[in-house]
Amino acid sequence: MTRRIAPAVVALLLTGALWSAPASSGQEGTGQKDTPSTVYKDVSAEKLEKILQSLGIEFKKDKGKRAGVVYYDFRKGDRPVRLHNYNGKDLWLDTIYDDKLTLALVNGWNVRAKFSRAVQLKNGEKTTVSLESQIDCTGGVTDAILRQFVRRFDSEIREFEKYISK
Amino acid sequence: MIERIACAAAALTLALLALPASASAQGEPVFRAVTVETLEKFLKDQKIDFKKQQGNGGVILYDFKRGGLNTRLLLLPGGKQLAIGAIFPPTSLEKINQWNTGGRFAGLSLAKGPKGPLTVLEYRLDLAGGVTEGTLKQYIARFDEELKVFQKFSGGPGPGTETPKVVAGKDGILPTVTNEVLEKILKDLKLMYRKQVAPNGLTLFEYEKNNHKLHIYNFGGRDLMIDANFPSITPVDANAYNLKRKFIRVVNYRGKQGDYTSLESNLDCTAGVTEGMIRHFITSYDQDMIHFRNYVQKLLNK
Repeated sequence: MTRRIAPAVVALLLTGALWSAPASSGQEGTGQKDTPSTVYKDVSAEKLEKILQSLGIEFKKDKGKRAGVVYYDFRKGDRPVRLHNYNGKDLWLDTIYDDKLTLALVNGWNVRAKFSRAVQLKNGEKTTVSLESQIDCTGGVTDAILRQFVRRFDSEIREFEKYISK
Repeated sequence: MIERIACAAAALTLALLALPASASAQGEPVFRAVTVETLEKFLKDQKIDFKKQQGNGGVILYDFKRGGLNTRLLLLPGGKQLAIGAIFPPTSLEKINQWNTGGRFAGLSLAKGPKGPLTVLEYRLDLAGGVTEGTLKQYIARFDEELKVFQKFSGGPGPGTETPKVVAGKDGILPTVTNEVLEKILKDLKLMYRKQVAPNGLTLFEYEKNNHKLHIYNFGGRDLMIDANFPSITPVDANAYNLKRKFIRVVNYRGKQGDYTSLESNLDCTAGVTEGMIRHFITSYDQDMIHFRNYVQKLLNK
């Protein structure tokens, strides 16, 4: 069944202006502005806020106690989510669950997860679970990567909620 | 494969084409070539809005959209052969081979595009064996189906997924991480690796760094995972480590040869990555691995 494809036909399939930007064709109709893919290693507050706005996220900004740390609180449905910007070098998303989950269940999520982790938090008598995801920006990121980071966390939340409701 | 389609076509109905025709067993005209005029009439009848171009060597190119994707139909000289294709971001050769050996109608290849490698999904129809209008309709419909199946197969852009913009240049955005790119990076980092490709498109690269065995998994070019295994630690200790550190995940597993603990890190590549980002992902893990190894060692020494 493996077929050889004549190079001449393949070349003709590739030539021409209409074909020069196939990768961006998926953006048609999404209302997504085609942002130039500039790579940067420092995520300014202004840059991050623009990205949140482009995703239609209404946030409340708060400066952390430590210099250079900024928090953005917003909601995904009913769920409160916090985005932390640590000096533009790394970003952290988390949401806290009051559900009493055992460490075995927490580990069970971590076995199946790729883009998040669950961590059990103990504060006095209260035990909660943080679902969190981090991105290291020092190796370089783009607007698209940051949008994907925020969007991906939505699906992690959905999957985690399905997991704990079983 | 083309022959199989051509034979099936003989049994189909209705004729449109205006080149030398004979009658099929059911009396419908069967054609062995197609003219420019009749092909264009057919496309218009199918409500396909095309742009026509003259290609090299007398080939006529028709560009239009199918399923929202740029599609090109080629009419080869003599009118005896058609080729229809669409292009996608580059895919690994393993994945291409997997597609081509999977019994699909359309073939897949990796080609050199104007801005870097591209994957070409292509499907041909040989008219010389005899076809009808129904054959052509089925040919287009079959290609639509192949497009859908391929997008699913490649994990291609779904709703709400960021589509990377390909940028030419030394460290431009890669829309997907091919094994070739990953191997180049590992070689640049002077890491001697062993590669294993699974039939589902997952590729494992195993190498040694700082006297420890590490693994990089390439999930079809869409995401990468790096991990290293350690003696099992308690769930409490694993959770305590996750509480303190960033970019990693400590997970306890039950293995066939006993329990173990893994230190994992993932890189989501669906919005595009650069070689520099992948290098950073691999090299920064080294420090995490050493840090965790010391943590485990301290626990074991208690």
